[in-house]
Amino acid sequence: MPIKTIEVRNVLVFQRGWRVSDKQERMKDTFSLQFGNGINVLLGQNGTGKTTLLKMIYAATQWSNEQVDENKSKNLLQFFSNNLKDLDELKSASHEEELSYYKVTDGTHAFEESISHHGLLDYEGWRHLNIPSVFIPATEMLSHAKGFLALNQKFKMPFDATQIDIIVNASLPEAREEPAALHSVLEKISEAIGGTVIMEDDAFYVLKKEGYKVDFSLEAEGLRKLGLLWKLIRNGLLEPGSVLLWDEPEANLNPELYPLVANILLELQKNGVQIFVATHSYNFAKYLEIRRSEKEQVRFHNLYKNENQVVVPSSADRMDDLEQNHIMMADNALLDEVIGQ
Amino acid sequence: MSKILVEENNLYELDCTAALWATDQIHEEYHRAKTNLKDADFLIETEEQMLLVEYKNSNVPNAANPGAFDPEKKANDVIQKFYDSLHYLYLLGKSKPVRYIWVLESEKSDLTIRKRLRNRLHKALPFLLQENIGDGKKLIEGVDVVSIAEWNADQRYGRYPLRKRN
Repeated sequence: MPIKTIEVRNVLVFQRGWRVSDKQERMKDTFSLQFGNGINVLLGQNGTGKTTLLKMIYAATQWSNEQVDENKSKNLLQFFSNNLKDLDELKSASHEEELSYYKVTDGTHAFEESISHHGLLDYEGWRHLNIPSVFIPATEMLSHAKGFLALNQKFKMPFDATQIDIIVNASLPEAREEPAALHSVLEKISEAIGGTVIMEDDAFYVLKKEGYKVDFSLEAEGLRKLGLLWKLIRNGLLEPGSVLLWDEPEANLNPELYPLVANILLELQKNGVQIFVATHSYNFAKYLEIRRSEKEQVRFHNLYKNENQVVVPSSADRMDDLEQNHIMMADNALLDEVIGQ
Repeated sequence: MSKILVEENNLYELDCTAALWATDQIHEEYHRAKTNLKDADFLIETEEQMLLVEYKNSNVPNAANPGAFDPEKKANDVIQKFYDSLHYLYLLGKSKPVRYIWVLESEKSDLTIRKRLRNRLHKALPFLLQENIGDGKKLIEGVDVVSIAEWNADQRYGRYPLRKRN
């Protein structure tokens, strides 16, 4: 079942808008979003909570997995930073005394983590859904893989759980069989990176078509991103029913590669992967909009601060229909300035 | 004076009642005279300027494959239409400053795409030429690419409402 909704109240930037006593009014006061079953594109200025939402969805999907060890308390805190000591640090600073939680649902089941109660309020029905998920952080991690996981077992490393998990996921063995539906996607990525990705002695390499290996850290960062995607698909982690969360796919990627990445995401979506991306790039988001074959494939969600400085969402099928779309506003201001208007 | 001009699909009309003068006959005249010139769709004379308007709407029910319409490809044609329409203005003795507006509705376009197209037009239209050699004379005063909603909301253009026909 795809993720359908998220509700957030008094966590980090998601603070209450105003004080109300009526219970129904209180609901309006809570940040909430309804997602599409396909690709959900999160837009918004820095500091409007795009990555926070991705991490909340990731935390929830991880908790849907029976294998998650409750004693390891794999809660939101680990996905944000290893420096935070207490969940209270995730509370919205201006509303520390108030109810603070986030809730992710698939329309039928719910996962709710309460920051104010330091615990999970609702997850029993959720626990056995086993929603496979992958989070690709904005920071490229695979070039640091050598010895990373062993060190992480022993020492406190300055990385959050999303950064550790992506190395774990990429380090998994390849699936016995290449997913047939994604053969063409693998081919396209392979063409862009000039080969395939292999792992030897804890380190990642691009095995070039010509037969020589290139250490991942020596590849351009944009190509490393594509290499990671190749490995995730080849490891069988982006199968139908899974959720892919990707923070700033466009970071370090040459704009000429945007259409390729957009096509890959659209192919993954057609193959049953629900996708959440946060982006600052108008061009990247626009490729998703114009290259989709069905309108329902892509849904845009813009986060912006209203006149009370409260983050509110605006969702639409087309970017042009979003309220306060700052990535377009920034482009438009530049275009006006170019011709002196 | 009531002056309602109708676009080629017969779905929208441009109400030029508030204009000093307006026509949609450039195409007709160029065709009748067997010229090889391209033409913009409408010409509106206001107190201060001439509005030369090219209209393209691929978001209409009978449009063939609206998703396939590519505004980028159409832009070269739109540029050519401006230059060719200048002959019409010259022969009619209309010498007010000209503002060229492309009213564009298409599935792929949005405000940013329209501004990019406007800038592309700006580069290809004779702004730099008139600055270099015009000595104050101008072939063009300004250029815009707008949606129907933006046309109607604009202070200058909205005086000539573009609306669906009954």
